Parts: sequence; C-alpha cells; structure tokens
Amino acid sequence: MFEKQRLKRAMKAADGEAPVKGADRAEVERVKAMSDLVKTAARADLQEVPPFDAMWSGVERQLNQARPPLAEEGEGWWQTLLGRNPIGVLAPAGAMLLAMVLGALWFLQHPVASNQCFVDSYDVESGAVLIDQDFDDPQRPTVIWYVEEG
Amino acid sequence: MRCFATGASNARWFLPSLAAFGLLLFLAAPVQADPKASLNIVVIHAKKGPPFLHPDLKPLWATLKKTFGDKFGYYNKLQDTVRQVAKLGKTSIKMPDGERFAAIYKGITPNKGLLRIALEYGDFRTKVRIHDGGLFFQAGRKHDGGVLVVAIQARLLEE
Repeated sequence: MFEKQRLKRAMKAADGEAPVKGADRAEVERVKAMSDLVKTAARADLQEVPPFDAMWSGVERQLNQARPPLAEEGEGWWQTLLGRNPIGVLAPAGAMLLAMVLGALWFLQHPVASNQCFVDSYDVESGAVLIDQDFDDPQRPTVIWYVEEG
Repeated sequence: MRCFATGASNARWFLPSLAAFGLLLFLAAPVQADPKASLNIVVIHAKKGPPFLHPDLKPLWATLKKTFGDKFGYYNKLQDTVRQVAKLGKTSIKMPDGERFAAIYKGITPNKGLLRIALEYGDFRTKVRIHDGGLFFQAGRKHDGGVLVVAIQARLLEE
C-alpha cells in the first residue's frame, strides 16, 4: 500500500506536479527516464505515420479526373446550363431556332388560302340550287349544288 | 386704242384655266386596274362505288374528303384547264353532258380584295366572291351513275 503511494508521489514529482522533497529521488529519476523513453518512442512512431495528406490529394485528383463532364459547381450559370460542351447544346438549339424562323417565314409568304365563298346570286330556269357551306370552317370549300328537275 | 389685257380680265381667264388643268390631270391620272387572275377548272366524275382516286386528284383528296365526306368513293378527273385572264376574261370548257361551263373573272372587290367570279352552266348562273387562292365546287349534274363535280380555284397574279 505504501509502495503505491511512493510510486504516485514519484510520478507527480517527475511530472513537476509535486515537490521532489517528499519523494524518493532515485524513484523520481527512474520515472523520468521511463517517461522520456515513452515520449521518445511515441515521437518516433509519429514520424513513421504514412503521408495521409499526399495520399488523399492523389485520391482526390483521381476522383476529379473520373468525374463526368458536368459542371455542377459554381463556374457560372451558363456553364451549369450548357455543361462542359456548349457546342453540343447550342448547335441543336440553334438549328431548331433556325428551322422555326424559316417555317414562320414560309408560312407568312404562303398563307393557307381561305376557301370562304360568298354567293351573291344565282339564277336557274328550272331545278333547285342548294348552297352547302360552313362558315365556322373557312378551309371547307363551298358546294353550289344544282339539282335538275326530274 | 383699248387695252384688253387688264388685271380683271386676267383673273377672269385664270380660274377657268386652272379648273380645266385640274380636270385634265384628274382624267389623265392612271386608273388602278384590277390584277390578272388565274382560273383553274377541274371537272370530276364522282359517284358511289369502289374507291378510286385519279392520280391527278391526289392534291385535292383531303379537300374532297372534307367537303363530300362519304357521299362518294369514286373520283375520276375528266378535264382540267388553267387560264390566265384579265378582268371580264372568261374561260370555258365543254362538259361531258354537252353543255358549256364558263367561269368569268369580274375583278376584285375594293375593300377586301375578294375575287368576283361568275359561273355559267347551261341555264344556271351564279356569282360568288372568294379569297385569293380560294376553291369552291359546283356539283349536281347527273352523269354516268354519279354526278359531275366542278372545282373552281381562282388566284391573283402578281403584276
């Protein structure tokens, strides 16, 4: 029991937490030597730690190279929208826009003719005349039926 | 000696001269003539029966279907004529029943530019107004188990 108290007192004295007076000086020196030995060994072990930073930087480089070519991180909204290959997006979009413009121009120059027909008068000696038309559908041609008697 | 060229006499001649000159300018002003038109007449024999469409009528198929529906299934082209006419110009063809069918271009309406077309077929007469490029039909004369359908299309020609 007193042996443990003596050892504790020596360890505290070696660590500078208690005065050396009350402790066995030889025991204190022995604890100090042991502590130095442990610290030295631990320091040596720390120096042999693998270069984790270098390793992770290599892994990150490989991850960046393997990442698909999509811009997702703040390089500008246009790059987020168009990706890393803007031509691949702009060319089809431009072609579609051009086709729409040409179509609109063609339509303006070649409007669909209206088949609306206004029958002002008709005259017949015999038989009957029937006007078949649909003003709700201007594309449907009018038919002027002339049905003979008999 | 009397002097005839007084100021009052000049004024008396000046106003009538000005009026005459204005009238001359008014009469000499170019009259806006109606443009020429192209009249296209296609005579079709339509009847019920086995489905048939003359190859030349393929462009008209959608219109025929829309207009006559299932009334006919057989459409054969008998005649086709296109003629460019000036105002009051007429294009006429002899129909299979021996009558003459005539379409007369009577100019365009002043406001909307509609083409005035008059048709004459035997004792039947009608007058219509249609849009530039518009198409209408005259139908009803019996022929060979069916009827004669005449498609009339009028188009303005650019000067």
